[in-house]
Amino acid sequence: MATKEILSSAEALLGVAADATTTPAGMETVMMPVGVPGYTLRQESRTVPATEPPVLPVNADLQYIGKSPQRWDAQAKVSGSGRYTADIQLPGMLYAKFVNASIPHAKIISIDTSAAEKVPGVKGVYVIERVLGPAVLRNPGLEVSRYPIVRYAGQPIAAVAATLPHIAEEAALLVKVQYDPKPFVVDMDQARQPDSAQVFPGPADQAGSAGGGGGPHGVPQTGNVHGPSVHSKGDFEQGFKDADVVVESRYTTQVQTHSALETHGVVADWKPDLLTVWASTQGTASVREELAGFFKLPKSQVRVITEFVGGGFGAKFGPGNPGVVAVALSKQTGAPVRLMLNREEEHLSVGNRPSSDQTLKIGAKKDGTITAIQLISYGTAGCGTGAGCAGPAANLYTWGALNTQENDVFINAGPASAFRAPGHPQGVFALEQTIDELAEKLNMEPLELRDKLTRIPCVASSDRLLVRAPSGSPATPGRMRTQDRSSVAWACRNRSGTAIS
Amino acid sequence: MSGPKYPSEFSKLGKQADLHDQNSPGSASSQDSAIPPSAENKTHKGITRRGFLKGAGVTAAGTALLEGVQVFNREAVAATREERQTGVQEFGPGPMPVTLHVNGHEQTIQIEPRTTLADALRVYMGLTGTKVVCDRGSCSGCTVLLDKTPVNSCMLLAMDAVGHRVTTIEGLTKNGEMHAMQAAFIKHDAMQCGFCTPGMVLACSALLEKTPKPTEEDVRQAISGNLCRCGTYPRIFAATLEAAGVSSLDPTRSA
Repeated sequence: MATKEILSSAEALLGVAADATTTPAGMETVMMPVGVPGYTLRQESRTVPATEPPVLPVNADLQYIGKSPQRWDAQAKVSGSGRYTADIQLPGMLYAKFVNASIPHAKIISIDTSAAEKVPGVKGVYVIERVLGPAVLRNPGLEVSRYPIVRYAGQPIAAVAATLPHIAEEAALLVKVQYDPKPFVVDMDQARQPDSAQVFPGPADQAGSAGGGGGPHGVPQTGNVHGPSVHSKGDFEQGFKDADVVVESRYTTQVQTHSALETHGVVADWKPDLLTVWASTQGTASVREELAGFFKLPKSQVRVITEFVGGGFGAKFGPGNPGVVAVALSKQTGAPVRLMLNREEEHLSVGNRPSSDQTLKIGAKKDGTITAIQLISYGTAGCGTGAGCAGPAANLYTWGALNTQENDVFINAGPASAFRAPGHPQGVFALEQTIDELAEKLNMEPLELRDKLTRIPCVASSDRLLVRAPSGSPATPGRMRTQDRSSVAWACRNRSGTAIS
Repeated sequence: MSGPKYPSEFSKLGKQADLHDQNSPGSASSQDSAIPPSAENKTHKGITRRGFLKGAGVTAAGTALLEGVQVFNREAVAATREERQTGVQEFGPGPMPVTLHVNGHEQTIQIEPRTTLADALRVYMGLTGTKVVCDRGSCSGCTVLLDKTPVNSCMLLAMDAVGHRVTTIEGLTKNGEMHAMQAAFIKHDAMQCGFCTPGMVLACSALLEKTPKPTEEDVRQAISGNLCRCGTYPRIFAATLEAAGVSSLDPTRSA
């Protein structure tokens, strides 16, 4: 060990490893600092391209790193000059408004747009042919309908473009939609019952977005229950038999909406040789690719601009229905079209974090070693999927055997979308409280147990938690006194939401 | 308390914008600030957004809305006839010239009386620094100053702002010089996505006008209605206190 360190120091001084004979052509082997200063900083030998820029100098010699530079667009933000998508105003621009489903489940018989078209100032009406978001039937032949099936109240059906916002709003109210209503279910527990109304007539799947989310394809579906999606490693039943202590609890979390301050929306300007789209998005590339695919344009003819975005939190990756409809209306009218959702639409139709109802069981030896983890979860992502939340149970701590069974439950509500670590807040909510209960049963300190179980040994959980210590205690590096650490963990636990055991 | 009063010739009001100086400062909300009567000394009760929408809502509850619009016209005419006797004047529903005093300038726009101040500023005057977030008075994203008072411009009819000095975020920068509050927001990086920032800056600048040496509690109170989804509040407290020359921040609360 000591010899190695001396050698490392010598190599560090030379800047190049002594033995360079194994280095491929065009590459060089150098020593470089790796890790976190004050914790894990060390010199390591790395083989890098010879053209690689030199290792960064220390912060004091750098212009930005380690400094507090001014946010580059700060002045635009405090002066109101920054143009968000909602602020884009183009010559001749039209304002569009969605016509949304007024009932949660129906087949649309007819859509009469004639009255809306006659309103002075209305320049275009577009009826949606393919609605984006809801899961899609594996066998589309199970439903025959001229228009997309309405699966939730607030689902966009058509849109009107007019010279002023309030004209579009009024005209949208004049679009007459004739529905053939179907039974609906909006409560997850009810939707799990065998006699519940069915959201889909057969198995259906939903893809994720560039931001994640979505659910597994091809899993079994019974009624509204899409799943289970099972992951199993080792013999979990034997694991629970081998355990000295077993804790099992049920946890529920609610649906959350992203509530970005700027709603979803785009301004689309269709020109024969170039489609320009200002989008409130986190992914200009994914908006471009999806629009190019939808309208069968080469990607080089689609330009997506996002200078500022008023929050997204994972829900703003593709163009979505607002993007597609605004482009279609711009193509139809020959004018730029702005389609920004209002706050109600934002909550109903452009994504949410699914709910969860988790039963988590953990078995452990007296010394804290986990012999088995089993998680059975149900959650609703509305008429989409993506309610799985087994990530933390599988990935955070070491275990002997694992069995997770994730289920999506369809209800007649808007589909979910990626939301800041899809599935993880729900999963961690259950897992961390169960670990606390396990520690209590084992008569161990909760953080001590986590230190033992963590998969990231170089950053002990005690260090991670220290940073989140309640106000009053300075967040200095180092280990807290035993008593303090215990109180932090229990304080965190008491702040949590609903726990059903 | 009586409602706001308008002279009979509404469109002339803007030209009398300086009249507001006779009002006591800080009483600028549409409910309690009376505009002095016109030369003819004829005053009329104004229509509130709520009252107007209530009327429109009753109509929309009818069968087809196209017919509803006509019904509304008939109702409006009838109401005018009825209200002539009570001294109340109806406006609209068609566009009419309205002169607003915004950021030190007067501008006349053709708007329907139901147009909110937020829409008048953003859609008709191109002042998009004012952000509409909830459009129902719950988030203060659309804050502007009416004289010196922060108001939700989504909940105020543009015509209710006639006779008042409206200051938007664009008007806070004077002669190319940033307001001290804007500079402090930049220094403390008191923003992330920036969508709540204009409303926050205006609310905090209004606080300092009223309370030059605020406590952190005062700042919290002043922006208690302003929602931020990125979590910039602690930096906003720090920025505001620094702009006020107060540095008694609770260190355990700062970012």
